[in-house]
Amino acid sequence: MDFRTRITTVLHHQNLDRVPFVPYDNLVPRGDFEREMRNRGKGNMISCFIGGQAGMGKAVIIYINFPETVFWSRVEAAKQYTLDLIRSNPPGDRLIIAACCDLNGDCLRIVRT
Amino acid sequence: MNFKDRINAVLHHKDPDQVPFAPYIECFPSGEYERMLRNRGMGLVVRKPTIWEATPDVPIEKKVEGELSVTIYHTPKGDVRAAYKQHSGRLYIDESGICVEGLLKSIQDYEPIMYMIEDTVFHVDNTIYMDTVRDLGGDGLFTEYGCALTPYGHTRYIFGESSGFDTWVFEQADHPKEFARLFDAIIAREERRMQLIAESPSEYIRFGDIDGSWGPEVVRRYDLPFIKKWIPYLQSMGKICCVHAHAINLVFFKDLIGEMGFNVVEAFTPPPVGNLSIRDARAAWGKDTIIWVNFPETVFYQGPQSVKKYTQDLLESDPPGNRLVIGFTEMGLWGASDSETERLFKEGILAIADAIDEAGDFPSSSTVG
Repeated sequence: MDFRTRITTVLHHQNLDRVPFVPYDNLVPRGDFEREMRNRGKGNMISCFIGGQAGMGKAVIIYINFPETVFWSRVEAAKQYTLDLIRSNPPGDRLIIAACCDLNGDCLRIVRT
Repeated sequence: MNFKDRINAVLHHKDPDQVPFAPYIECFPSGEYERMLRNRGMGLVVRKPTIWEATPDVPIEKKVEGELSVTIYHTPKGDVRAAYKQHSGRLYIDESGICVEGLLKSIQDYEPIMYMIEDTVFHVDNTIYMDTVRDLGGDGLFTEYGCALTPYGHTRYIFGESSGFDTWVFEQADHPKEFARLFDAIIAREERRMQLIAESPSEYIRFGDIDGSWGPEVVRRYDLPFIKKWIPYLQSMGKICCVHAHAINLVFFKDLIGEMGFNVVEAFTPPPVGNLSIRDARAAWGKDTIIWVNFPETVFYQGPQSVKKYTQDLLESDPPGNRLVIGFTEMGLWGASDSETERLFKEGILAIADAIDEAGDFPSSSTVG
C-alpha cells in the first residue's frame, strides 16, 4: 500500500497493512531527512482533520500526537515506546501515529534519531 | 555525490559528477512525483531572506475591502496605501497576493514614502539560514533572498510592480527630481542592507534581476554603479553572487551582464523562449560564469521525445558541463493547472531527468575523445 491508500483505508474503516505514520507536513520540513522518511512510508498531512481519544470505541480513529519528550530517552526506548503504543491498541486498524510539534531546533538530531 | 555536493562543486568551480537539476522548491509541490525526482538526484532551491525590515515610526493599518487586502501606512508626512488581491490560486498562496495598487500613485505620495524609507530599520535573523540548511541536508541549496532587488528594481515595486508599471514609467519623465530623490533615498537604505548581507552566514546570494522590461542603458545608468561597488565586496567576503536574468531578450544585455561580475547568471531562459543561446552566452561571459538555466516549459508541448532531445542538445552545447545548472525558476509544475497540462509537464520533466542521466555526466560526452 502506498501512503494514500493506507490512510484512506484507515479513515474508511477498512483493513490496512500497517499503522500510518502521518506528521503534519510543516513539522517535517523538506530536506533529506523528510525524503528518507517518506521513502519509508511516511505521509504528509496537509491539515488536521480528525482526532480521537482512547476509550471512545472501536469506530473512532485515534490520531496520536507522538510525545516528543520520549526522544530524550535512548533510541531503543523510543522504539520500544512506539511498539508498546501500537500493541496497546489491537488490531491497529483504527490508529494513526503523527507528530504535531515542531521538529526544528537544536533537538533535531535527537528527534531524527 | 548528493545534490548538495554536486551544486556546491559547480558553485565553487570544482567538478561535479553531473549537471545539477535544481529547481526552485515552489516549482515542485511536495508529493510522490516530486519525491521520485528527488530520489533521482533533483535538488531543491530555497529562497529566504535572513533580514527583515520594519518602519517603527509608521503605524500600519490593515483592512479587507471585498477581495482586497489593504494596508495603510500612517506617516507624519501623510498616508499611503497598497492593495493586494487575495485568493488568486496556487501561484499566489502567500498572504501578500497580487499587488493591484502600489504605494506610489501620484506626486503627493513621494514624501510619505521617503519618510518610510528613511525610517526603515533592518533586523537580522540568522536562524532562518541555520534551520533551513539543517532541514535541507544534502537535498537542497539555501539562497539568500534579503537583497533580491536592486535599488532601481525597488522603485518599480513601490509603484506596484506590474499594476503600477505605467505610472512608474511616466513618473520618471513627469517628475524626474522627485524620482531622483526617491532613488537616492533607496540607495542609502540599500547600502545599509548590503552591509548586513555581507556579514550574514549565507553564502549564495541572489541580488537583482534582469527583467528586460527596461533596457540595458537604464540598468547601466541606475544599477551598474551599485552592482560594481557591492558585488566585488560581497565576493571578497566569500559570497557567491547571482543575478536573476529571466528576461527573454538577453541578447541586448549580454555585454552588460559580463560587466556586472556576477558568479552566476540564474533564470537564464534559452530559445525558443529567450533569444540568447547558451553557446553565445558562454562566449560572452567566459568559461567560469555559471549559467543556471530556467527550462522553457513551452518545449513540453512538443512531447517528451522532443524535450529529451532539446535537453541533450542544451547539455552538449556547453562542454565540458561543469559550469551549468538545469532548473526551473518561473513555473515548473506550478504551470500545470489541468490534467492534460499536468501530464505533459510531468512527462517533460521526466524527459529532462532522463537526458541529464544520459548526457549530463561530467565531463560531457561531447568533450570525451
